[in-house]
Amino acid sequence: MTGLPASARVIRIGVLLSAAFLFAGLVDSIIAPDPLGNLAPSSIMALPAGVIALNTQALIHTGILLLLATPIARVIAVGIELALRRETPFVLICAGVLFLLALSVYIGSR
Amino acid sequence: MSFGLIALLLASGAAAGMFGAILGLGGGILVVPLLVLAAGAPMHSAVATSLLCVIATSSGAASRNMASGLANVRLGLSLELWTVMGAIVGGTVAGVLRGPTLMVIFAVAMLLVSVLMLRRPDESDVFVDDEGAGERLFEQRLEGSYYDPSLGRTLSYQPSRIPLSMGVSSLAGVLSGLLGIGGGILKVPALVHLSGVPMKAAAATSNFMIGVTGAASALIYYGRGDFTALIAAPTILGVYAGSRIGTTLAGRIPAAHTRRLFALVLVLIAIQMLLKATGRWIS
Repeated sequence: MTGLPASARVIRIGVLLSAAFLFAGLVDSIIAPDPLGNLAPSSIMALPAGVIALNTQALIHTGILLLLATPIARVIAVGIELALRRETPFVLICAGVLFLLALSVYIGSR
Repeated sequence: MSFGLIALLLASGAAAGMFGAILGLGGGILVVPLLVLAAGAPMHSAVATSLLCVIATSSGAASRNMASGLANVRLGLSLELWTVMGAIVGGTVAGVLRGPTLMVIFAVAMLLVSVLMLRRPDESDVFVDDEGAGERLFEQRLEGSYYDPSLGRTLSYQPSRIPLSMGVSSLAGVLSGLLGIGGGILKVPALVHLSGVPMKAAAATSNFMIGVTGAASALIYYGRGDFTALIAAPTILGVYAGSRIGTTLAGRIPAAHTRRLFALVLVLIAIQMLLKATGRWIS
């Protein structure tokens, strides 16, 4: 079986980005301890503003969400690569996995 | 948060990542007790953080294994559907369990893992049984091959008895969601002994699945607000660093001795977790 290089690249980028945000958040918590930095962002929509403001929690939560998104992006990338190879059964399996991941987002948000 | 606690979390993550890489585990089995016993983290927060660490270690190795073809992506996807279902069940059930109850379940799982660690097959024990394989069209599509540098040749294999591995994968998913472990300790032996996948390909394929399985239950924990950001960040970064060191050391350390030592450590930690769950642990 040949490897799936695009999917492997997606994982590498996701890991690097998440590590960068987590590191930035951690450094920020050490060099600029701010009581407001300990407040979690009220929603995901509030994250970009928090990141721009170098809010510790916003930086770390962005890193966590990027880490959570990496395997999901990997499933999508694998699905696209398999679709290009016309491997329909495995594309359907990818769709099933994505449906279940969406279900876990729903269960978590209830 | 104090600098000392950050250093402790970094060191805990690094130790878990290093041992995980040396022993072919996600490291979650060490992250949870280290966070609960050493850092005083709540059990649910420790499990949630551990799931992130499992995703981190899995992702690092998965990119290499996918590019090289060592991970059987089609087999991994087929089993992933079942591990993710199990992970959703485990993550949901964990939400209704109290911390001490989870600790007791975790301690029992650690004792079982320590037994499995001692019985884990070496590369030489692997028997690839392809008799009767390939009879079904779907299984034929799961055929895999990879270049093994230690043998100097390409190994081809035909996975068989996939429904059995699917059943074990579901159970591994439940444990992953419930306890924050990767579940490779169950999946790898199942792939080797039930489906006839060579050890290296089984470990790589299990690792490929772990990231998505961890994400499924971690999303549930995240939605419930079980993450403590300032605990998660240093632990994950420590795991990243530790798994890199462990990968470098893995080839130089005799695996059998390390496994025995690790099994003993797991038993000791399991006892401490039981003491903590019953209120007898003094930190």
